[in-house]
Amino acid sequence: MTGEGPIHLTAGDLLVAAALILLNAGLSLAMSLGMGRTIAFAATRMVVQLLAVGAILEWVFGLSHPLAVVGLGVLMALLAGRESVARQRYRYTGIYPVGWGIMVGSSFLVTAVALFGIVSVDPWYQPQYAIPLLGMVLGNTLNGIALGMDRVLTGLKREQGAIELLLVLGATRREAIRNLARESVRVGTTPIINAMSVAGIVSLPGMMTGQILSGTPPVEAVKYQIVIFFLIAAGTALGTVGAVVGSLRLLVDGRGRVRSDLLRDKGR
Amino acid sequence: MLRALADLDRASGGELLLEGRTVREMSAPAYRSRVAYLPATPQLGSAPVKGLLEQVAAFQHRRRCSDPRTGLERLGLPESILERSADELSSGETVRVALALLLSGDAEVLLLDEPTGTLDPRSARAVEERIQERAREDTSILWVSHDPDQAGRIGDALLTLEGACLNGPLREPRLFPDTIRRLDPEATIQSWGAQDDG
Repeated sequence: MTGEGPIHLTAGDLLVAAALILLNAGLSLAMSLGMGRTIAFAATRMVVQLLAVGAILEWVFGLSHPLAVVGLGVLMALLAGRESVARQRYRYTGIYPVGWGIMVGSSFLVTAVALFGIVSVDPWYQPQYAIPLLGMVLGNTLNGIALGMDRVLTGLKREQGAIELLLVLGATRREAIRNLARESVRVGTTPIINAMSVAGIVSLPGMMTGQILSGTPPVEAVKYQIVIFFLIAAGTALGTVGAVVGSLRLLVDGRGRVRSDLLRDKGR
Repeated sequence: MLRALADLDRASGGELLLEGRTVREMSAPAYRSRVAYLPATPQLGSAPVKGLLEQVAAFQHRRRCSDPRTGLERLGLPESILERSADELSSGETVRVALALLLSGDAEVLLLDEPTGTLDPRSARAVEERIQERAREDTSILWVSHDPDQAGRIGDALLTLEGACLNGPLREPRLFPDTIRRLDPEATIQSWGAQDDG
């Protein structure tokens, strides 16, 4: 490939790729997995969502206006926040605002550091940088928040008795919930730590692959990928800690009592 | 009711006093160190028992009066229990570990919810003896029991709970068993102690 940009894909190329999904459908039939409908639905959803996003991005790139970029960013963060809460089995009143607030706060902070302090984009609102950076941070932070929150809420429900035993033995609020908080943050941040450990050996990160495909020299692409990893690690840690601490703040009162009455089981 | 006395549930009405002071004005750990509560089915978490003991010993408000390890032994638990994971213990072992932790503090009031409910007669006897000994050391004890004979054997004042109505105290131990048998055996609180607090 030359440095003049990637080979353009035609509609026919996409159709050939789509034919590959028939392989999955065939497997489903052969093994009577009954997943044909699910596979078709997921594949269709993926195509429609990505085409729509492509169109929206083209439009925002065309505007290249700070408000349009921030607006799209907020929308993406709110959707990510909603997604992280939607996966929770246990809910409490105010869980959505917590998810949204933490998601917007942590991802915007980390992305701002990248735009102003690391990549030094000028002007900062160039959508080509701001949107993909934010998107990658959001995707990973979402996982951290979802996992951390799930652990802390399940823990409050199932381990209430153990927390109470520590309380009756004279533990402060902090002493009683410290183990649960630690464990939840560990669960939330483990995937990104694993991803960093295997990066480049087992997996070639998607962004780096994309840059290489579009003609960027590999070493440049790697440098970007390193920055991205640190950004998403920071975003995930901030988001996970925020979600765990925020949930505990709302669900454990000043005297250390678990307000399990505020937790509702949505079922799976 | 014991949960509300232990400050674990918000009371639906009324006020909690300890020696004339509102509990709301005291810090929760300070209050709970003085008024300790043993749930009927305590949960110890999933760490090894040894880790739990160390965790509790490190609490900033903990005023320890004895080593919980000696307590374990006196309640008939072998030393090897320290190495076991707390969630692998039987319910009887769990209650006794929790009780040993409770007794190793210097609480002035112990709220016990059927401490011998899950124990075989021999362990139950060891628990009764240990708690009676504690009562002689000026600790007030509120013991919930469904066992009429146990109440007569160790109690010195009987409170009975019928619906939402607390009756008593009755101070004639020989009358306890019959009083309890007359009532629904599911609804009995019995207490004894050196002081009446809370």
